Amino acid sequence: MLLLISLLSSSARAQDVVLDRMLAVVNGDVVTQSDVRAARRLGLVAQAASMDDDTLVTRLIERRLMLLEVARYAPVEPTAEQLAARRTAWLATLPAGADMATTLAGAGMRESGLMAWLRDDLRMAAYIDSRFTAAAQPTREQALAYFREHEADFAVAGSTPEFATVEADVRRRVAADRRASRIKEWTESLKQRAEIRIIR
Amino acid sequence: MRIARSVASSCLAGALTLVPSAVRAQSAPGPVTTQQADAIDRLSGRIVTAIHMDVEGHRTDEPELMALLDVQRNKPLNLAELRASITQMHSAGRFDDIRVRGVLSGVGIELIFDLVPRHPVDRVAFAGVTSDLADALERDLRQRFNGLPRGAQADAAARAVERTLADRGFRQAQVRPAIETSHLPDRATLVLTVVPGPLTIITSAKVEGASPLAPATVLKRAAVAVGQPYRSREIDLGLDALIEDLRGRGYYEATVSHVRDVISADGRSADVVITVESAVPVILKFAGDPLPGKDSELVPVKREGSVDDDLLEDSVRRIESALRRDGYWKGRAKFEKSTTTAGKVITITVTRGLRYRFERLEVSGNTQMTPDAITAMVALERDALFDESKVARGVAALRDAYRQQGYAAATLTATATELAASKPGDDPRVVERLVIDEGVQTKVADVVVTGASKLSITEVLSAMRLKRDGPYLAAFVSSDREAIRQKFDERGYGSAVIELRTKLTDDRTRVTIQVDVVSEGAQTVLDHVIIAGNKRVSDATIRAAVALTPGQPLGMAARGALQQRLSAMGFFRRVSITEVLHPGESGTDLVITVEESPTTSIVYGGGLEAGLRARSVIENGQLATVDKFEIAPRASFEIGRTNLWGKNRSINFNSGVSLRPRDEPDDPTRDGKCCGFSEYRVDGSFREPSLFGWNAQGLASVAVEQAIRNSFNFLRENGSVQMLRRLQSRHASFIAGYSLERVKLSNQRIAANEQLLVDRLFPQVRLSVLSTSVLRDTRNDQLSPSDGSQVSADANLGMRAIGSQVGFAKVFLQGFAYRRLEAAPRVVLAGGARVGLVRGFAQTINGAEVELVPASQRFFSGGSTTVRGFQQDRLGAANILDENGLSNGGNGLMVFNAEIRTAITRELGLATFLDTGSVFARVGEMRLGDLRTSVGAGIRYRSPLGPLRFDVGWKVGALRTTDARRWEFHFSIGEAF
Repeated sequence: MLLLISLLSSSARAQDVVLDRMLAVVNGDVVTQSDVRAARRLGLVAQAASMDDDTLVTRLIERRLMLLEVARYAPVEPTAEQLAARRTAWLATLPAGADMATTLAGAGMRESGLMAWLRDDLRMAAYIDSRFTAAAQPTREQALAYFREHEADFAVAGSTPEFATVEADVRRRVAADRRASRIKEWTESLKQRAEIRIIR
Repeated sequence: MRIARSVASSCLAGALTLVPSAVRAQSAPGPVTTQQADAIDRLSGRIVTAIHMDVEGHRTDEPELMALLDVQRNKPLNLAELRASITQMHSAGRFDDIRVRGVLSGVGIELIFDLVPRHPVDRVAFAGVTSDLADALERDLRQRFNGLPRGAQADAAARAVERTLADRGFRQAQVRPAIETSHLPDRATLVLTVVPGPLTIITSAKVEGASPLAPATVLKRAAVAVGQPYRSREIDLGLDALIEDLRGRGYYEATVSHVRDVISADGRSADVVITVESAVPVILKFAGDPLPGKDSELVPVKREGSVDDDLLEDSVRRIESALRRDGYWKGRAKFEKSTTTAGKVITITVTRGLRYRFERLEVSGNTQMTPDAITAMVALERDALFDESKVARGVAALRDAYRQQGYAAATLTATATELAASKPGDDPRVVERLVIDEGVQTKVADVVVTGASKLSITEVLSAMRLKRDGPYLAAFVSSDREAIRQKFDERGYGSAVIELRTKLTDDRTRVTIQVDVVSEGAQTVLDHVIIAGNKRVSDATIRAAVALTPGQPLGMAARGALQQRLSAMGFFRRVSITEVLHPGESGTDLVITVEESPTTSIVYGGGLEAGLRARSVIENGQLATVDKFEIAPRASFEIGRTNLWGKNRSINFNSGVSLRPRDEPDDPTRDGKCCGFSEYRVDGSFREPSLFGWNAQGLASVAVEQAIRNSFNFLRENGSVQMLRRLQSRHASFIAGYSLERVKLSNQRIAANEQLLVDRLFPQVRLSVLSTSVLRDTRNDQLSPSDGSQVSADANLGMRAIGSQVGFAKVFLQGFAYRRLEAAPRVVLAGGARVGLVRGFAQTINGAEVELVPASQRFFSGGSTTVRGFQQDRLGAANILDENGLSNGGNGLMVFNAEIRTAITRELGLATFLDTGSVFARVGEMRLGDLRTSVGAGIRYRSPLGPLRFDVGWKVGALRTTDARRWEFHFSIGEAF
């Protein structure tokens, strides 16, 4: 009898799989293991494939908070053409020959869910662009100061070019850095105000 | 329902039962490994053979939990449905953690939901502080968090306690939170471990600045003393009181602070510096004519703590506005500042000038509106005090009326011209001249809608007030945009963006409205309704009230109506509705969390009734009846239980008793002597909110009651059933019912030979009565209404065919109306009318056909709620009263009331009234000319129990021999009508 129980236990252990579970709760909203799988498998979060689970959970939490914040300001809805273009771009990331329906089912997502995710991407991008892009543009003095601090980054064949020749590039980099920094501050402030519970 | 774990036995089934438990103990939470991911892929799509719920290791089969799942038995495992199931279960609010395991079962798969129940914090414990301090910290915590903090708020609670400790002088306190869970029931204790750190002690204290109070006094008021703990919050409170005190002494501009306190680096000592800037005292003086109102309201320097020029200029404007409202058209006010040794002097000088009266309005330039209509809108009557602001309001209303008709460019210019007084001593008069330039009328040429696909063009147009060929009003553009947006929202398109543009023709007579639906957005539809928090009320009962179906569009109006429906059920102390959006999905779950009201209510009360009562005495050797003043204490008790069997049914039991003097009219030595329970009532009722599934309430009740009237006592035993249905208008309802009652008369004070035949034949009578009523009640308050009306019509039919000993038909109509005067908001006009008719069906008694109406169905009048110049039941035609004025009651009733209620203060009011009415022996004898009238006055007091009323009424006209006196008084609760 003990051998039987042991045998049964062993065989059952091999077949017992955690199909899904809660990983975090964000302002009452749940982040699950299947969300992490879907984000990674479907490439819904940038660089998700190379992230560990904890980092990916954090990204998903941040995304939820950003969406809640964006929804408060009634962002402009993407047009049907924009959505279609986004969908096409996503399809292009799938491996050659992959069937979309099968891929989605394997990731635990429906097509309507995918389209809603892509729509949210566009809404968030529009909001972030309107809020952070213009404000991140540097003045000439700020761009010049950045150039002086990072001259080596702009060196070509060992020689530093004139500022005027690389000014556009410098401005782009400064704007990108500032934008990223402000988005990070914004996200941190959202996290501080939120109720987040990580479930181990 | 939990199933206890079975003990392993030699039975194979028992061994298999143990297996999942052993496996659970070994399955490790953590990141999804590649191996696991492959396993999930392999299991996805398999048929689900069974679904189990394990709550902390105990299997449960709660159908309410199963209903939350999207995954279903005998269907392929769909990972998206599984994820949705986890979300829905979490939304139910019962679980802190949910995991789903899959176990191969033949070719299928068993799903096991491992659920960790939520452990709500129901206790907070402090470690590291004294019990007194712990109590104070807990009180403060409950106040900050409006109850106990949740587990997720543990860190915030710890920071809050640190702030409280800092206010008490422990500026370096550290608090560490921890949650300790307990089971059966599932609860948690928030444990806050406090390391208070050193107490900050005040090492020095001084007062700077200019203060009329001695420094020692200031320090004492601020609770600052060297050697005492530095309690910042107490200091703040003390300084707030000090500012009030200084302002009370006339230092209106005083400021006090301690922002310059210095705390040592180690936090152990504090140097307190209180800065007082009291400036100089301000003396407010008034000169010239009296102020047209309270100085504290017109010149609020003390309340605002300022005498700056802005405030004084506002005060002058307020005074001048008040003067003009009182007819002092050219009234002026000004302020002057000066400085004396006593302080700063502000002198407000008021010059009222003459008081003007309105003579007439002269209008020119109008073609679209008649002079009478214009005059009515300006609403100033000849000889009324001239109030320029009232004219301005009237002109604004007129301008608006023109715009409503499409005259967007209409201009109205009003000029006031003074006329001399017609004779010395009279007030001068004002003629208002109104010149109107109507301009052109703009009409809507066309309304063009583009971009709408989810609503038809007809639907969009129907939401708009701007219509083709209708007048154009610019204000409607924004309201129509909002109306269209709401229309989309009702269909679930809450994020629709709508723009309205207008294009005017050159001559401005026509405008085209362009409606662009810029984007309709995604539709929000209802996915699941999840109910949490209910213990006694069943899910099915709540869902029936929710009345929303999955897939239905969800808009704001639907959400608002849902909240109202759930609150109107009467079960819940609190209802909160939260929407849970599925990330990546368009469906929305509604999570309805309820907090049930206590089901059992107990009410008890006591009171005192005082009044005049007819009593028998011996006068000149003969039995006579006189009125005596008596006081009777009363007590009542009520117990009720609601929410029976999980539905909105209720059962109530009421009882009341009154301790009164004995009632023995035939024995004057005992009549009126103490004491006996001659009045009592016991009744029980059962209410069914949805009778047979109809949209109607049912009520069944039984009652036993003994009560006294002036002319007789009666004992009534009654059983009744009623159906109440709200009509389409929510203020109106219809009631139909049946009652079977037995009424026994006793202690009749009217001599036997003067009693009605029916009372002699049927001192005890059984009545079987069908009844019906229609009621419409729009009063804004049931106890003390100031607006609205109540109208009702009742009809009763007693028939021998259904068991009544006496047959009759009775109709009672009543209507009451209430209006608050706009010109005098403290005054409410109230009026009422009551008409009652009853006719007995002919019966053959001793060979004669007689019409009998028993006493309980006849009308009586007089008393605190009918005609107040008469005692209760002592009003009537001469042929229904005996020589002592006691009434037999009658078949016809008319009562009319008019009352003026004036609020003197918030609690106190006065009333003057005129009541007229009578009771007639027969319906055919009813005459308006035979009504008896009384006038009177009364005092009203708005007590915590309700409005208390004392009225005195005086009979008008000649007294009869049956009238004991000219006046009567009444003291009672509630208004007369």
